[in-house]
Amino acid sequence: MSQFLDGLSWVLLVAGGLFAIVAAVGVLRFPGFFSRMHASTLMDTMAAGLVLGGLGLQVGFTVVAFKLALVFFLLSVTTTSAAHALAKSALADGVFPHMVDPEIVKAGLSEAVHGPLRHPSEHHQGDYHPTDGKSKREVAS
Amino acid sequence: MYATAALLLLVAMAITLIRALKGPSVFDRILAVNTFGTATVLMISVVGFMDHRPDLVDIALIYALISFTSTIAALRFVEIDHARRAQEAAEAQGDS
Amino acid sequence: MLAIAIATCATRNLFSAAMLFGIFSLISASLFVVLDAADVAMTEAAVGAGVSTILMLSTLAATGYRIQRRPAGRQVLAIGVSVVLGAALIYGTLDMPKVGDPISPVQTNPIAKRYIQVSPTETGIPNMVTPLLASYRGFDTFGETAVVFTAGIGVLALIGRRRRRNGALLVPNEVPENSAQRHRVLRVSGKQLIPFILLYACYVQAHGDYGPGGGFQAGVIFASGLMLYMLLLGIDEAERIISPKVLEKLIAVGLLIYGGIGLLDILQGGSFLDYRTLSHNPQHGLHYGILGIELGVGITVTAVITSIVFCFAGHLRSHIVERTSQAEIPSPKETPAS
Repeated sequence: MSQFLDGLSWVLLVAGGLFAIVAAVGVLRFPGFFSRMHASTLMDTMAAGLVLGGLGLQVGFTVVAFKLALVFFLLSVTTTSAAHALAKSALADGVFPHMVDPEIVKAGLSEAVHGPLRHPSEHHQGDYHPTDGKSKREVAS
Repeated sequence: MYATAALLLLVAMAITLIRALKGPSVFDRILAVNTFGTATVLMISVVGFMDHRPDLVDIALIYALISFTSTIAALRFVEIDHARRAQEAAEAQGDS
Repeated sequence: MLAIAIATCATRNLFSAAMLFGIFSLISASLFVVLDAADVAMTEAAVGAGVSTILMLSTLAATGYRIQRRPAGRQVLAIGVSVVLGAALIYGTLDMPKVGDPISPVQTNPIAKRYIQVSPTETGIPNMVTPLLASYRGFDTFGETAVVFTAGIGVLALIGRRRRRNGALLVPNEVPENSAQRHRVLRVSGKQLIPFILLYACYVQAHGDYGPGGGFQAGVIFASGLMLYMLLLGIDEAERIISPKVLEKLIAVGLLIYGGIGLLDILQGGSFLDYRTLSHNPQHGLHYGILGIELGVGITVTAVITSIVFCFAGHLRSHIVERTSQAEIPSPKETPAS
C-alpha cells in the first residue's frame, strides 16, 4: 500500500513538474499578452495541484497535509484575482489582444452565422466596452 | 523522486525568467514575476520534503500570500503611472 | 542569479529593474531554503516579495522616473572603484572555507558545538535558531531591534507623513478616480485574504519555537497584511483604520518591551536579559522571556514597516493630488490588430 502511494506521488510530482514546464514554455512562446496570461494560470492550477497533491500523499493525514491544502487554496484564490486585475489593467492601458487578421478568418467563417465581420477597432452599440461608465471621453467609433 | 520534480520546476523557473527579461511590456514582466513566484512556492515545498523538513511549507504559504501583495502593488503603480503620464500629456498640450 | 543581477543593472527601465529585483529576492530565498536556513529564507521571502517591491514602486511612482538617465561624461572613476572593490571582495571569499567543510571554524568552534549539543536540553526549545537568537545572543537581537527602530524613526523624520497645504487636509479622493469601483473583484477577494494574513502572522510569531518563525518574520507578515489593505483601499482608508500616531507609539513600545524584560531580569536578581530569573523554574522563565522579547521584536518590526510604507504612500498621494485636482482615466487606445 505504501509502495502504491509512493508510486502515485512520484507520478503526480513528475506530472506537476512537466505541467510547470509546459506553462513556462507557454508564457515564453505565446504571442501577445493575454494568451501568455492564459498559459501562466496553467502553472497555478495544474502544476500546483499535482505537486501539492503528490506531496500530500507522502505525508498522510497530518497538519502538513492541511498546510499543503491551504497553500493550494490560497494560490487558487490569489492568482485568480491577480490575473483578473492584471487583465483589467492591461485592457485599460491599451494592450490589445493579439488577433488573427480578419481577412484570413473570413475565408473560413460564415457571415450568416456570425454577422458582418468588423475590424476590432470599430465599436458598436451593445458591445462590451472595458471603460463603460468610467471615462468621460467618448470612445472613438 | 523529489529531486526530479525539483529539477523540472527549476527548468520551468529558468524559462519563465527569459520572459521576465524579454517581456516587451510592463504587464509581461508582472506576469512573469507572478508565475516565477508560484513556481518558487512549489519548489520550496518540494525541497522542504526532500530535506526531511516539512515545516518549510510555512515559507511556501507566506510566499503564496505575499506575491499577491506585490502583484497588486505593481498594478497600482501602473495605474498611477498611467494617470501621471496622461496628466503630463494634458499639461504639455495645455502649455503648447 | 548572476543573470538577474546583470539584467537588473543593464536595464534602464526602472520598473523592470524593480520587478527583476523581486525575482532576485525569490531566487535568494530558494537558495537559503536549499542551504537549509529556514528562518532566513522566511524573512527573505516576506521582505523581498512584499516590502521591497512596494517601496521601490512607490518611489518610482512618486518621482515619476521611468528611465534611468544616462550619466553625463565617462564614469571612469566609478567603474574603477567598483572593479577594485569587487575584486577585493572576491579575493576575500577565496580564503573562506567551502560550504560544509568539516574543518572550517564554523564547524570546529567549540561554542558552536556547545550550542548544538546543549541547547535543546538546556532551553527545551526544539528549533535551535530561536534560543540562539533570543537568549544566547540576546544582546545582538536587542541591537538589531534598535536598528529597526532607528530606521523607522529615521524615515519618519526624513520623509514624514503627508504634508498639509495651508493647514487643511488634502482632498480625500482616491487617485485615480473611482479606483475602488474599478477593482471591485480585487477588493472583495483581497479583503477576505487580509484576516488570514494577520492570523498567519500571529501563528508565525508564536511558532518560532518549533519551526521557522519568530518576531522578525511575523512582524513583516503582519505589516504585509496591513499594506495589502492600503493597496486595495487607498492610503486614506488605511490611515483611518490604522492610525499613524498609534503606529509611531508602537515603534517604541516594542523596543521598550524588549528592554523592559531585560530590566525585569535585573530586578529579579539576574543580569540583563537573563530570562531564567523570571520564574521559579528557570526553563519556564526562559520560555516566558523568549516569548516576551519576540513579541517586542514583532511589534516594532510591524510598526516600523507599516509606518515606512504609509509614509511613502502618503507622499505619493499628496504629490499627485497637488498636481491635479481631478484625475481622469483615459480611454483605451484603439490599436487595430495588424
